[in-house]
Amino acid sequence: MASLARLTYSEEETARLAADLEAILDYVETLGEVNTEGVRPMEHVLPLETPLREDRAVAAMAPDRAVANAPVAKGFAFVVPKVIDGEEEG
Amino acid sequence: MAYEVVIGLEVHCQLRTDSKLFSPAPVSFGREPNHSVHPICLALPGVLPVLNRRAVELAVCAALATHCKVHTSSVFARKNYFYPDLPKGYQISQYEEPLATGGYIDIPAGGDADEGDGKATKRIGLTRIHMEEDAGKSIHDSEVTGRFATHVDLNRAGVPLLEIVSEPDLRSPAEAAVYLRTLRSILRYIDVSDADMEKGNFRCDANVSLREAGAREFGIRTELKNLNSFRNVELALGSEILRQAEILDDGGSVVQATMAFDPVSRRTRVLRLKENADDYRYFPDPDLIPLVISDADVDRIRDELPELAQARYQRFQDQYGLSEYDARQLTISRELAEFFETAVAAHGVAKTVANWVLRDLREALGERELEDAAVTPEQFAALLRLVDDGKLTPKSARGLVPELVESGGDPEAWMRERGLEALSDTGVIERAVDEVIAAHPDDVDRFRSGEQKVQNFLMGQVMKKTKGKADPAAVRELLTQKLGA
Repeated sequence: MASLARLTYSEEETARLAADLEAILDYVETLGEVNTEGVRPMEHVLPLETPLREDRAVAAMAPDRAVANAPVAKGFAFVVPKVIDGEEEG
Repeated sequence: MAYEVVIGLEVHCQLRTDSKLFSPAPVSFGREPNHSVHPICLALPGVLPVLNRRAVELAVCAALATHCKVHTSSVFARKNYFYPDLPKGYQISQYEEPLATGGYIDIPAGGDADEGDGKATKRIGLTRIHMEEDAGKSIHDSEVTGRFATHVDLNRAGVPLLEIVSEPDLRSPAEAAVYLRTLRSILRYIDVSDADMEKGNFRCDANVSLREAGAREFGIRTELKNLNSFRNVELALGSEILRQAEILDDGGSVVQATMAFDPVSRRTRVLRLKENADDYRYFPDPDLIPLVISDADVDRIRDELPELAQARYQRFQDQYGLSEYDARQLTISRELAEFFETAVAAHGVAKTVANWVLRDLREALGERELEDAAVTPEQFAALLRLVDDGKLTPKSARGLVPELVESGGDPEAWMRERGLEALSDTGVIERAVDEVIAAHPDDVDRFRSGEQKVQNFLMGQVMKKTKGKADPAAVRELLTQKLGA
């Protein structure tokens, strides 16, 4: 899980966090005691339909503003430390 | 050992919209980095996604054209992973309740779109079709980025994609390529996507495994990512099948992995080992309420669907009296079919137009798409009329096709400018025939002693003498007349 979150922990920290997570998961498991036979999973709390937007494009935001908060930007691109080939997502 | 190849494909195709899936930023191609973004694409705090109606309609179109069941209610989910070109830290996709499921497409059987007789088809099942947003683009190792940085361009982030997942029904790389071409043709017919692989708006991932011939259980599969041309799909699958077969032959077992294909070395290599859907921690996106599509909406979209390739293939046979083969070839793409129909309207004789389109036009196009050619159907029809009227020999007309495709123009004006008019002056043709007969006494004797095929040689000599401008029918008649005498 740490690797999915791109976080690094020491061994003691890992042990402590694992114990915490166990306890959290056990607590969540109490939900399993409820009988959900025949109940549809709920995706959303309100019985609404999603509103739709017409396909009209607005002007793009100014590119210098788009990258204004980036610690490093070059030629309007965000610059990050090189991502190792092989971690790419599709 | 003999193995059976099992392939399933996941296609991502970009829907043809003006704005993005959840953001009103314009969809663009080839613009400078971050020139086509909006706070929603950048995941700035406080933004909320709002779904694009057009994208939904196009997705429903694609689902109907591929015989899928469109679900009244579908749900958007967050697919969580970390990568710099995914600013939210998740991609909005559909997971447990996709837009549509359970469709199929029929592809020409035998794994070769061009050689099929038009009759035999194989049905490939579609597991599901869902909508999702594209990620941004990461640029590595270019002159701009240098060796130690990655540049992130979010122009593409949030662009609407359709993911079309096939059943593992494909049995060879060639069949996979035919499936892709057929699917692309359908998507273009209904105008939901440009489906242009070069521009990256039609991408393919392939799952491939081997099993002992006759086995029921599937083998362990690998996933090949981001195959960006039809050729690479075939090459990558071929290479991966060989790799897996070698492992199995040595008594080893294939390790489930995600692979990349290197078109230069033509080899696949492991990107990362086994990943589970669990790793993505999918959950319904709380920012988005379920998408509800009424039966009335589905019916309206179904009524508006344009004529599909299969229907057009039938109609071309009925209406124009074309052979199954010609009808199949002409309906491979909507552009070609429409070019043909417009040219027939201008020319009149369907069979003549079909022959010239399928042979000469296609040959002149080569690898290019018809949309990229300058020739109009009316110009093409005008060229054929010149042949019909005896003003231009078929040979001269054929010579003009490549240039017509390249730049377009008025064939009749070209003919006059270049002095290509067919020789209708029988005096000139007769002189040429006489000269040829005089120059080849031996061949003439052989013909007279019964060697019929020598006439073709003599014909050729006359055509050569007249630089291909003599009407072949007139030459044949004169030759027959004079040799018979």
